[in-house]
Amino acid sequence: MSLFDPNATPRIETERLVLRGWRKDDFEPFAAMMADAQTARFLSAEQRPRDRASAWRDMALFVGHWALRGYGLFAVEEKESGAFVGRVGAWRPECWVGFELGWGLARPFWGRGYAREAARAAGDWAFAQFPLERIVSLIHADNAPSQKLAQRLGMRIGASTIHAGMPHDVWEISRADWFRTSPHPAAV
Amino acid sequence: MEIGPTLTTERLILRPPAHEDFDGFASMAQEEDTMRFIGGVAPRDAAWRGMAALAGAWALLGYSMFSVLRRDTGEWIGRLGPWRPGGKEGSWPGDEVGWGLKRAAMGQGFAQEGATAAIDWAFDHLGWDRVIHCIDKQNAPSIALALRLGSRLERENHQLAPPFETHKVDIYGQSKAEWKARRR
Repeated sequence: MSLFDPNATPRIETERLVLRGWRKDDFEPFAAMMADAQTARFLSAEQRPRDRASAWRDMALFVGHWALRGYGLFAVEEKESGAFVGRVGAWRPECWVGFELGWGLARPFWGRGYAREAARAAGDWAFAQFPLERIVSLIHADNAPSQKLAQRLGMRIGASTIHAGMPHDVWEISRADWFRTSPHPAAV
Repeated sequence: MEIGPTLTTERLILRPPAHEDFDGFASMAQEEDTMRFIGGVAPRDAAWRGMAALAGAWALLGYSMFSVLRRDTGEWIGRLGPWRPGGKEGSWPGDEVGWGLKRAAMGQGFAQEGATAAIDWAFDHLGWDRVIHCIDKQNAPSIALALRLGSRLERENHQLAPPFETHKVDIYGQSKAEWKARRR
């Protein structure tokens, strides 16, 4: 048996953020993030705020995803304040549409370009670490901010699908296109 | 790197869930009678999430349910062990050792053998004063096992937090002193 130790989750620093493994004390800010209706709308299958017990199980699932897959969603922290900002990274539970690059931030941190900064770093890491031909993002048909971010990351809209009973699009990008897309930190 | 210990009993190996256990988790999740009192049948994707959450709880809390394997065949037969989602700060009614085996492994004393090892480990390593078992009133085999382990009915009709808010359980339990006295 081979399990990845989630405590060995890599730490990735960007200009303003740190992507790192989950800690117990991420729970309170994560639960608060998921209790916010606007944030939870596109981050929970029920499109409803998550109660605390469900949020804890979500967090355990994120950590367990790292243990079982060796990759997963990072906890994202604001460098300057140390505040928990959200979760960004790789997502591929059983039966998923592909190797997903996912993002979701707490509402106080929207509108600052943090999701783009974190997603760019997580995508760089994913393509560097794993022999992926492409990554995908499953985005709700009404989720305009995430569609915009996917476009900015150079992703293209692909197949339409029904996920959790709701219309979604599978956005995707190839390895070659990912590293061609600007602005890329290494290319800036 | 291990996220938790491996325990060995006369006939069983208990260790944290690993990816190779998934077919076992997924097939057990399809057994209607087995799943009736432990969350209901679940499709493969939900079974994976359940297994992953057990593994994640090991990393977050330092304890969680073990996968149970037969020593003679290596076969995965179920999961049991310490369970308290959210830890001390969560809404779970106490420090539980729970169990659930797939149908083909029932009736052979495996659950009692595994639960005994898990309770020993929990009292020796987790600083628990008591152990509880949350059991549906109609789950006669599990009630019988709780009683065989020396636990008694402590509370009836306890309502669990979401996502089990529609579910009421009876709580069986005993103190560490009671357990240790019986195990001497």
